[in-house]
Amino acid sequence: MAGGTLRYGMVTEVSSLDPHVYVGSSWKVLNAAFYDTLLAFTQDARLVPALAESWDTSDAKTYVLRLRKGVRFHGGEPFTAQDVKYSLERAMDPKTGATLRENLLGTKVTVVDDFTVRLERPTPDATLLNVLAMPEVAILSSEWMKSNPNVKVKANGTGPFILKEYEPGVRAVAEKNPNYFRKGQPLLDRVEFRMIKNDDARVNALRTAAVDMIEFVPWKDIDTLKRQSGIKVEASGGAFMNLWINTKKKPLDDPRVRRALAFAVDREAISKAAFFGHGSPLYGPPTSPDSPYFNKDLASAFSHDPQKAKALLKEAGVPEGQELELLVFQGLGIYTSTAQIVQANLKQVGINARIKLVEWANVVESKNKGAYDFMVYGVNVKLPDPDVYAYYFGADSSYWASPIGFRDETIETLVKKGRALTDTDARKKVYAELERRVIEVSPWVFINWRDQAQAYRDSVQGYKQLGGALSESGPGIALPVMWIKR
Amino acid sequence: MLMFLCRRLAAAAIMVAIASTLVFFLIHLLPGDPALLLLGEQGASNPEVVGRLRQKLNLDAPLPTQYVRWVGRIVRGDLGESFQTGLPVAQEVARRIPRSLELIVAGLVFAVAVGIPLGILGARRPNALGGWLSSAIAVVGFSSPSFVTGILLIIGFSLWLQLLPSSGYIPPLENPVQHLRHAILPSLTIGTNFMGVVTRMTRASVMDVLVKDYVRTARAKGLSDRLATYRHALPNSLIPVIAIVGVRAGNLLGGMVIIEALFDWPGLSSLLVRACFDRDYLMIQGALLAIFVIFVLFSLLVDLCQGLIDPQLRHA
Repeated sequence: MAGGTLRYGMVTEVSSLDPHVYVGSSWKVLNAAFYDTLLAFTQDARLVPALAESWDTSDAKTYVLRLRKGVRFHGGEPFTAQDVKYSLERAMDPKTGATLRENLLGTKVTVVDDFTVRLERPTPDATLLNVLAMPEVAILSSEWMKSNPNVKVKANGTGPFILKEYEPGVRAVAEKNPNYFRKGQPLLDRVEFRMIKNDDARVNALRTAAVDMIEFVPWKDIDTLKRQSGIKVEASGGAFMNLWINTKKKPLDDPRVRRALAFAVDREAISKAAFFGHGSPLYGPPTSPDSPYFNKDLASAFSHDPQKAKALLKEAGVPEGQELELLVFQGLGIYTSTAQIVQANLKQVGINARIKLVEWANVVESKNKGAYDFMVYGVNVKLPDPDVYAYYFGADSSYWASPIGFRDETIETLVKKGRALTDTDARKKVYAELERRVIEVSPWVFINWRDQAQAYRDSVQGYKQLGGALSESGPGIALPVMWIKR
Repeated sequence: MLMFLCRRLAAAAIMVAIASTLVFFLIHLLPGDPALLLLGEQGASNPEVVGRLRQKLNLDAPLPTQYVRWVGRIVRGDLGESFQTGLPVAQEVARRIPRSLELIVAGLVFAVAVGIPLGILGARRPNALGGWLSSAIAVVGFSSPSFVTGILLIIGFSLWLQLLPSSGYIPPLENPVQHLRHAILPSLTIGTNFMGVVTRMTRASVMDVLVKDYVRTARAKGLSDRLATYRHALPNSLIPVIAIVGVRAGNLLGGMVIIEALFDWPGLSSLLVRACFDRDYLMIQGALLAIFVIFVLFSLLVDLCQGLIDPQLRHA
């Protein structure tokens, strides 16, 4: 029953395999194929041992991890505590540009012996174990790194598959790692990753069986593919769409104006028109309903209420016909359609939003320089922990807040408080308060959860779509237990 | 002939130099910073990190200095390394050129094989059914945009008939048969458009020549209609056809973006487009340089072909 070759069509033209620098969902799958993490998530979202066999912490500040013995990297180097120290320090080094750098920053890594490491956080941090389970904190071979290899085009991890061939932006071929530490895995013999950025080409490749599975099914094609025999489509909410507001620009520096935008936007219309019905309106904070931290009281903090929006704008003294510039990435239909609806919605409440369509390089630059009024931006939930709010709104986070100098003391305090607590019930209270504050301040207008869909042929077995924070990691988690029915 | 070739080569070299200099300065005018793009969502807001990366990428020097460094490296045969992947630009470009040329040449062969006979048919029987058909095919061929032709071919041959793969690229060394099967539809897409142009040009040009005095003389001295057309009229009428085909083929090197995207074919155009979006300057410069050189070689080839057909041109 095991075996086979999986041909996987990905959406991003991945041009770097650096295991610490996220470059898109497709990169995550590749990373999980070649590298392992200390801890890992299962398909039912449980945190389980991976390269670390067990761990202890008394105060959520000092963690002692005991490592698995007898694991080897693809290049043959034995896995030891040195590799953990090297990898974590590399992820914290600013030169690396690691995606989760700020979550790890300040951690002191001590090699106790070959198979024990001690991690010390400057303050108690309940999120560390979750962070260590993210593919962005992959463990690479310190021995191998001494030869200064180009990690963008080569991979040497302990993961279930070994990189055999890679052409940046085009394809990657992976073969089964016969010495994988999880006995009996992986089931597949070989995976061929093809990067097919063009939506129609990707869908056609699946329909004509040129590939067995595709990620990021275009929203317009979800229903069509569902109707086709021999093809399965699985969708779950994984990312949410927003208006990111520059809270330093007048009149957007007034929270009443931002809340007015939140009341003006017609989330239902966007979910129907821009996402072809495959999105669910988000009227509260972006915590998935299946999370233990989901806050029912806040779930309908907003509604589509142009009257209320107008009243708030009037109260804030915003004149009729106020001009604002909406920065929009031109490359994806979901972005441009969302922007058009937002523009019409704002017109109703007396705001003239000019849409500025730009390519991705321009989005990145404007975001990092804080050179925008507001923009449409899709956000993948980075961590399965409410501490993601630190990533979204923490003043030090370069994701959104620091480039425009956003800082809210209440949020800062609550983030620190939540991070230091280990008891779930106590944390729930803190994060409920934090979410109330987020709604009050409304730095972003949350629009909707968008469905992320994967489609595959009947022959593909063992895949399970995960939701929420694990949505992007789902394919990587499933890869070792997938197989092809012949 | 040798003189002619030398003169053309010298002119070509100057053209390439001017074009690549222009490109160098123009792409630096684009907004968007490659260092910021490389650092992604996280690292990019730390000015120190950005600064160090810009230094590493040689982006901190004044533009003229960067230009001199770049030219200096090219003279030594080094196109530099891609910002994105750290791989040598030359290697990436060299890997892509044959793939693009393969489609262009295959399309060209199809276009000439179908287009020239169709054009002659159209010229000789302009008012008969064959002539009408020839014109109709030509117009549809060159006026239908490549994404329409391509999608129609995919629907016909891949989805309905299931004869050919809809998209993808298999390296020829991995599986030559599959490689060719994947190349057919994109080549046909290029070829159809090309064929339209060739048919139209051939038809017009043959018609022009057929009424020339020397053809009338040939006929008057007793040659059959057919012989007069093929032996006397055709060679002369092919000169403009070759010229237009050469220019179009050169254009396609960087201009197949839509076709490459539609068929997921990793050629030179898609490399260039990705490099532009990533602001991968050295890659853009390297790819364009390659395109210029090949383009110039194409036009040189065209000149040579025309020179072979028409000795007068050699001395012009």
